[in-house]
Amino acid sequence: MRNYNTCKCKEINTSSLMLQLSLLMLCMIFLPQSLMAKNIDLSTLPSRDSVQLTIYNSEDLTLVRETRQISIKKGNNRLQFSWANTQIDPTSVQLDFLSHPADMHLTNSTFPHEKPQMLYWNIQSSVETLATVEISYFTSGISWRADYSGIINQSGKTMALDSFVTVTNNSGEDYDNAEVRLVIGKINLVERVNELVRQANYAKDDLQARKKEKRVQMARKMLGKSAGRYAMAAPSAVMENVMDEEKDVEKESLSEYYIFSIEGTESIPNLWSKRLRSSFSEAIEIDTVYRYRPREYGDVLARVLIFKNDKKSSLGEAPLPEGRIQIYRKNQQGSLTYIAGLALKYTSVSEKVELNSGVDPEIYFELVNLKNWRDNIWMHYPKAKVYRRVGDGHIKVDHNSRVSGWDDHSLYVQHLRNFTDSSIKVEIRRVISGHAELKSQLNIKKHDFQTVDIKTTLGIGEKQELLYETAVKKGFNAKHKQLVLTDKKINYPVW
Amino acid sequence: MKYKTLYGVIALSLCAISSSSYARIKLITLPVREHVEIQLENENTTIIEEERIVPLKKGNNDIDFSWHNTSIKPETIVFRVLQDKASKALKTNVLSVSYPPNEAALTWKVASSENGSARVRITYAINRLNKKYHYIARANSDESKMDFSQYIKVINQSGEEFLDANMNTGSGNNIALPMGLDETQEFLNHSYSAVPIDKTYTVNASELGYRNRAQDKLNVLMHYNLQNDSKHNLGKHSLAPGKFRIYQQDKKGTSVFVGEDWGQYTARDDESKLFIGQARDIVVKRIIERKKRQRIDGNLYNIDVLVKYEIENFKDKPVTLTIEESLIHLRNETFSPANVSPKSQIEWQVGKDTSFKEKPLKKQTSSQKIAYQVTLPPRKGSEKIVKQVQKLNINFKNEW
Repeated sequence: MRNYNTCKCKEINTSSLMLQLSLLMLCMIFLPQSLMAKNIDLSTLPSRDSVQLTIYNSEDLTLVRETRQISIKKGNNRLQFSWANTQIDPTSVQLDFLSHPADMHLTNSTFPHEKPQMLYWNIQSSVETLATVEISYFTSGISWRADYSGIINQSGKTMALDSFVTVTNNSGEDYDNAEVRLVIGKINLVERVNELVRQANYAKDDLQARKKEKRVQMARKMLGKSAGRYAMAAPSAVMENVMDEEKDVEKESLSEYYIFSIEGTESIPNLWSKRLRSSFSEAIEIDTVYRYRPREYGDVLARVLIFKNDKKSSLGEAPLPEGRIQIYRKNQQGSLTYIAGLALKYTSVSEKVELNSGVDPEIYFELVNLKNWRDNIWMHYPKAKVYRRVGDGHIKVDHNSRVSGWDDHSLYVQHLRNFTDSSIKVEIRRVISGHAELKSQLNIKKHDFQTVDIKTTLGIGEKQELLYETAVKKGFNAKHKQLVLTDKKINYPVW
Repeated sequence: MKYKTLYGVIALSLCAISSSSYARIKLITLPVREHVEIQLENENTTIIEEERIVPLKKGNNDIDFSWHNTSIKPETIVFRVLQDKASKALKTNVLSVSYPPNEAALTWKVASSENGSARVRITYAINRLNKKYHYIARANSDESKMDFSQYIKVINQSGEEFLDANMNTGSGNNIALPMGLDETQEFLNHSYSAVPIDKTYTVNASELGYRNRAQDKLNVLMHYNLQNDSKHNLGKHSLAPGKFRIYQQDKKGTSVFVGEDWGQYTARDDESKLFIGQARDIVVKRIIERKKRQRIDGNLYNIDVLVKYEIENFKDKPVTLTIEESLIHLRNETFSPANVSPKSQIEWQVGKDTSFKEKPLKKQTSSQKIAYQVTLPPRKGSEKIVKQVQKLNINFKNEW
């Protein structure tokens, strides 16, 4: 069942009518302070004229700004603002006068102890007028997320990318015709909004809440406010003369954040989600690289799809927010073949997107340790307190001597074979720790003091055996932790 | 198309009146599926592509898509308007997608430039619609060639029926097969005939074990080796992993089941090895004939090991036997771990007392393992079996 929760602004009347009854009234009468203790009031329900949602994705936080028109009389005016069964942070509620700011000011705000989700504003006005006020507050329960759909063309060289944003409203309040702005970035909050809401609701009396809800339902019926699934749908196609275009999503930067503003307004009823396309790029150039990087991708050769968030890719207008991406490939019949569902990390403008689409069984990849040997072995003679190298001659065997330093040599072959129908790029990252030397004639570059990147390309059906030798000084022989590259031809061993 | 419930239903809402919560009066049309394709190409994910002709009115249209009691992955749903004759006159825009609460459904808001019909294609991944591959193979009497067929079994527990579906197996085959609810369909995907196979025998004391430990007799494992290339009448498709059941024709022409194994994924031009069973007519005894430790200095040693293999072939055919030796296992076996280095890296050399005439097999030999191949002559009638003796001399170096 749908909850008729509400966030409403009432103007309060002094006349006595029915208990807890909210009626629509066209005039505004102010209420003496002494009568506030009584539960008899008369109120009007000025509707929202506009509402703007600024939704932060890093926190459960949305800034709501709504404008309403209210009749203000000269002298003291009292406004009641309540937000039963919603997720509004009571400490964040603010009132501003958009019209006549010089003629009226907020004297004080009262939070009645028996009604936690309510406040009264006392307004002093020097004029009698129809004033426009802005009420702003933080609410939790509204979130947005990005997601993407990529379709790789038959050649595998380009990808059509749809970027979407989906707004989900679990705030307890319907937001009709709201301007929606989405904030990308990580803000700092010292207290969570939902925690503040929880604290405020702690003392709430259930009976009171039920009564209030009933009153709200009645008021809603009287207002004839439509709700439910089709309230948000355009009434009828035949009424439209001009075809609607997709909404533009304007992107702008602000401080450390980016703001996506959705063109026009959107209605997002409570508990609904709505997804809109934020951008479309028809042919992004993609590069496929096969990478072995155990720390990043696990102990496998991963197929990594790379593209850049830049103008050349018809992107680069704004960062790509974090989200899931579903990747398909178009086959010859125009059908889509599923490649993978992956997590796309936050990608700045001009930054590369790297997507690990898993293992390709059509690539054979195996590292084999072909041979090991040791040399430069040093023995420690504790009695004589000397070190001697094995093989230097004239050694008298001393049963109490111990190996204290040596060099470990290993010969490796990296087997690669490309069974796919296109040539491939392969990058292999290996860690060779310690006081080490890497001997090879491969295309090797150091990534850091103990890590190397080996790069190669393989044609269709090509097989490669990449040979390299490592020499690592151990024990007494090791002096520092540094890898040195040496250009040396390595041959396959003969046993 | 039969609808038991409204699962997987696309509905065009022409009129929508809503007064409270989810109660709603609406008139909907139910565009039937014009075409359904079940994509089995991805190893882990099955994709459904369905085409429907959707009537659109000029202006904005709400198109409902719901999948109650089915296991569609909603995040994978892709909606495309195809540019065919029917929808060419129309210009369409997908304005938004709305997801109602607590419902397996969504609503596309689509703007259309004209009244007319659009051919739309909806793509989504579905759970519990899975496939398995298996193979039935028939080897000829001398086990030199094999015919085999690849079958695909599709199990539909997705909660939806696809009665006019085409199965796209990803290897060029499009097979029209109805998939009912909770139904399983099995079909022949490919057949391959007269595929040359290479039958080999292998022993490896540490990995394959002993048939009789007390008598030092090793297990002798028999394999069929397949080469997935055009020379071997294959190579058109990669072979998906699945169970191989192998039968052999006897002299009367009937088939006898000889064994089964899990076939691994075999790319084109790659090779595959199927373990069929153990051979009893080839006997290989493995004995450690010599072990000697020589101190170099202090706690530093060289270790000399000689392994003897006595091989007898009781079959009336010549056979090729691969003898593998795990060198770490051999080091640990010949000297107790307390006396040797715990290092996994071992330094070794083939010693001068090795009797194998050929070089070690390059493909199977590494720092951890050495492999040799020998050819064994057939048994000749009732003549005494010739016992072939081979020796492997390994020098482990610089152990401490």
